[in-house]
Amino acid sequence: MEVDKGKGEAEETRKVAEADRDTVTLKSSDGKLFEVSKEAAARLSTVLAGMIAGGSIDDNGTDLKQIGSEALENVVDYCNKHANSIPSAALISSSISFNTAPFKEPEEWERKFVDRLSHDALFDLVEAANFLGMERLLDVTCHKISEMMKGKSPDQIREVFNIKNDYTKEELEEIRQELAWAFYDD
Amino acid sequence: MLLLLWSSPNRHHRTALLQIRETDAVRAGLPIQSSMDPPPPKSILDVPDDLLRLIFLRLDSPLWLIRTASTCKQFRHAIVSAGGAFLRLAATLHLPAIVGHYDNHRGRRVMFEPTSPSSAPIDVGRRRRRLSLDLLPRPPTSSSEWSVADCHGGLVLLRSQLDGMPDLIVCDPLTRRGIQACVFSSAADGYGWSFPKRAANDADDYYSGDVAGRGVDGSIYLGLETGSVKILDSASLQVSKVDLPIHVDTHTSMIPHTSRFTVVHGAGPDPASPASTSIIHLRGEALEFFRLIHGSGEWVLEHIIQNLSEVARKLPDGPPEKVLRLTEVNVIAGEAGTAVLSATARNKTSWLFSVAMDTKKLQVVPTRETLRRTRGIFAYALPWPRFLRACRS
Repeated sequence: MEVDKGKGEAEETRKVAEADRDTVTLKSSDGKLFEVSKEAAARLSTVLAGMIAGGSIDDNGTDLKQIGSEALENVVDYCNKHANSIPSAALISSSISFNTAPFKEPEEWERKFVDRLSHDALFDLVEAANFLGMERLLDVTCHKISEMMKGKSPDQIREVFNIKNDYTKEELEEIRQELAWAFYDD
Repeated sequence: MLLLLWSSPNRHHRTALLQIRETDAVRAGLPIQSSMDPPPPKSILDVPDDLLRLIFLRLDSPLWLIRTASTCKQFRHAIVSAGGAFLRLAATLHLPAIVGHYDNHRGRRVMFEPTSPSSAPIDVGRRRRRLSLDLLPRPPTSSSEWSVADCHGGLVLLRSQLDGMPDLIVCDPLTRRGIQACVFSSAADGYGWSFPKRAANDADDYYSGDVAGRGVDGSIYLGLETGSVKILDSASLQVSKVDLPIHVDTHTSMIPHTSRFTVVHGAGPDPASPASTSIIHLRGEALEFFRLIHGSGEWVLEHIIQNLSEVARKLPDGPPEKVLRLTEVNVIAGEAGTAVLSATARNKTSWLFSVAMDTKKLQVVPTRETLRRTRGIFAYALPWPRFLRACRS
């Protein structure tokens, strides 16, 4: 009886401790663990906010099977380092009304944050931000990728992203004829 | 219908390519990738279509969007598979990509003056030639040149300069292909505009005045000689009255003064809000600025410059002291957050001023002599494509 009671108390204490912790542990698809500020995670990610509020956070590492360790490290880095300077995800999404507001420019540190990423890591991070409902990070990563397309010819875009031209000659000719003015060199 | 026929399984195509590469590797005696190795580097082609669309929505010129769509089939598919919705959204999200201005000159051909974007230096001469209207035939019933009456959606409306019933044509300078007959007509005597559809209880059968410009939503504003403004909804052809918080009665006024309305596009009240429609009312020596409150249909008087000549004389590089009064003041442009005014001084010199629509600050526009003879400037913006051709394979 006493043993059982003691176990029950321990369980109780552990639960309290878990609720009191100010970080959450996230587990990547390849099994690596990352700690992130609970407050920042809840503020920046609508999905993590929902999991924290719903109590579905696992103390031994909440499984995020869709996100690899490199992307998760970037997500956590983004949250931990810069959480204080970012308005909450809820606030941003409520202020964006699609047919009225143009996109908000990334801030200087956000620019630097995505600039140091490889293409590979950047594409992973877009998907991770989308999966976790991180509006602001999604904004910043999409902005970065769109900047890589602006002002370039189709050939230059293919070169930047290392993609193959899979149009046939005839298709390419049709496309160019349809909107020829868009292909001049200026 | 073509849009719906598109169904290229790009991802399968890619898988097939990868398989070919593996067999090549085996043939060459190279080790092939086992399931324990880290996954191959991610390509932008692994990004799902809905995220690609989020990225493409941030391309702020139709040029970038069209070129991106021509890069590979998957990019085009991401755009085309959303039907016209994606392209309509893209067009509404961005300010018009203004590439230059058509400039009406006294007794000369309409000139196109390219704007050189700060980000990408362009060949100004080449763009000038490309968008010039020099292939136009002369107006059939007039010996004078064409002048620009309106620019919208990548099309230019021109009319013959002489008074009386004008010849009207629409042309598309980008394709230089179709020069089409205009589909609406001016009122019978050549002054003012009449419209085919009206509400039964609308007593005004006929509007005498001039086109004041276009709102940010594309509707046409008419400044009437009676000192009021009407809006023509370009879709329904219904005319409605603009309720400005002033009253101008040019008929009973003891001292007749100028009353002219011009529509100007300004920035919204803060950077995140959309462009707004404003009206500048030139009332004698004064400029009155009205802004349409977004979503409410209500107009507010934002600012008044009481005495234009006096304010202008105090500006750096402004007209000299001895120039007592500016006359023939006209608002000649105003589509990108700045209104441009032309004025003639007593000593016959011409002046251009700009007014930033957010601060209402007046500045002298330093300009070449040729521009001082201008009678009107029309910003020309590249049109967003309404649809993109889907690929057949």
